[in-house]
Amino acid sequence: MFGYLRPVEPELKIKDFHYFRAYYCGLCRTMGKRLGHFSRLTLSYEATFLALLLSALTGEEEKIVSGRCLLHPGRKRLFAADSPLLEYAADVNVLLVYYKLLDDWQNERSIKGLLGTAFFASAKQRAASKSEKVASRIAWELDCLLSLERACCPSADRAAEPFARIMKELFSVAEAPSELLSFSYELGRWLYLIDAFADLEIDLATGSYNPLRYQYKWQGEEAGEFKANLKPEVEFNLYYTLAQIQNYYSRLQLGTQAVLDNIVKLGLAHTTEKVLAGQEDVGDESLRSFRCT
Amino acid sequence: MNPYEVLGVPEGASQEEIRRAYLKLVKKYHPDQYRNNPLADLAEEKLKEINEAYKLLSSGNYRGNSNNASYERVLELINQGRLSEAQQLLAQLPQDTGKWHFCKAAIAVRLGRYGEARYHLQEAVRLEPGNPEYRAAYQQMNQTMQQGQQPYMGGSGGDDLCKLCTTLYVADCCCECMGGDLISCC
Repeated sequence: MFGYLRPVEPELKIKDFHYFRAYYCGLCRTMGKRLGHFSRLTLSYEATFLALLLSALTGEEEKIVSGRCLLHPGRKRLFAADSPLLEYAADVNVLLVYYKLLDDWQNERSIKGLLGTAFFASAKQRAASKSEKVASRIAWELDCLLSLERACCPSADRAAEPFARIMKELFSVAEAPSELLSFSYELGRWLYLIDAFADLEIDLATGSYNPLRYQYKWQGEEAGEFKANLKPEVEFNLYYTLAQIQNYYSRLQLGTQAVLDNIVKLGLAHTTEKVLAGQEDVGDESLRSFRCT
Repeated sequence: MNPYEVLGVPEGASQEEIRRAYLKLVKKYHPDQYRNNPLADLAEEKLKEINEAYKLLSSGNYRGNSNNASYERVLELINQGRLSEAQQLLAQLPQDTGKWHFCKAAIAVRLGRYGEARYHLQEAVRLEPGNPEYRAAYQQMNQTMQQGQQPYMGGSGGDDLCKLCTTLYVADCCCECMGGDLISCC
């Protein structure tokens, strides 16, 4: 479920691009300081989005500092300075990636998952002790998801609910307006659905749970054909959810937020289009996907 | 609520399997496990749900038909936002009518289950093609969906009416320069 929530870079102004990257790099640096340097490998677009949106909402003026990055010491770059908000996003990031890897291991017996959980275990411990409530809620909801999976839940809508509730919890900071909660819930739904659609072929091949398999009653036919047949309904569901997302987003009244506008208004639609068309260069790029040039 | 999903057992599981799953969950969500935990009230709610699911499945006649349900009552509950009650009541009504699917869709859309909602509206329209209410609801859903479907074109705008007009205007200007006229009114 990573790598879907990203800006459309060609549509960003240079200054906005730098602003986005300052957050991305700032989050990376905060993670290094707070949770250990290994945790920086889990850096994701999703947590960057969380930090950007929450900071736009609180309206506090953020500090951008210039400095050098451990991985690219050659040139100075910009970082969003440490703040409680970035620290929170850092915790969330590690927790999400850790549980995703754990899920991979439990469901698919993936070796990458097992190694990943072992590798990030200490970072996860640190994050969980600092953001206790979010950590226990994520574990809780993934447990709900697991029992849906065991029952072979035949509805993508219902299978999406635990993850949607996780997203809602992530944005449930103090004084979060109700629009933000609805927005994040729908965003979680969209993420789960698009991930289910993108991974369908792999899941059919490996036999791991995918709600679409049970909703549209896969009988062992060719995966590509099966996917093409259910595409119109998934497409409807995705775009309907997207309409809700846009609606709640506009009601948040954040003012002009070039980067956020780009992600929500262009990025989501662009990603949806690409995934529906079967292009494979999106998703699952949690491990340092952003080009740090 | 689907009791099988609450207990995490596949449909058609044996009584023994159901019991085993139930005991395991009760142990897991027992209030003792959640002392001084921020999720204590969630656990309590969950335990209630588990007990209810087990009661339904262990009595052996899940989906039994006790009939004092009516569509009026279901719609009333939906409007009051008491969705799980409405769902339980609806489960007791015969499932092959347009009205049943319409109610089901109304619940689904409020729960944010848009895929299911659309499916049930489709079924409602299919079963009662003459009903304007079902048709309108179905169209409304499609319209909302289209709002979300504004394709990102990669920055290159296609041909549209605006472009056509400017092209004509420029052509007209050129003609006038040469002493002719393409569009006589301007």
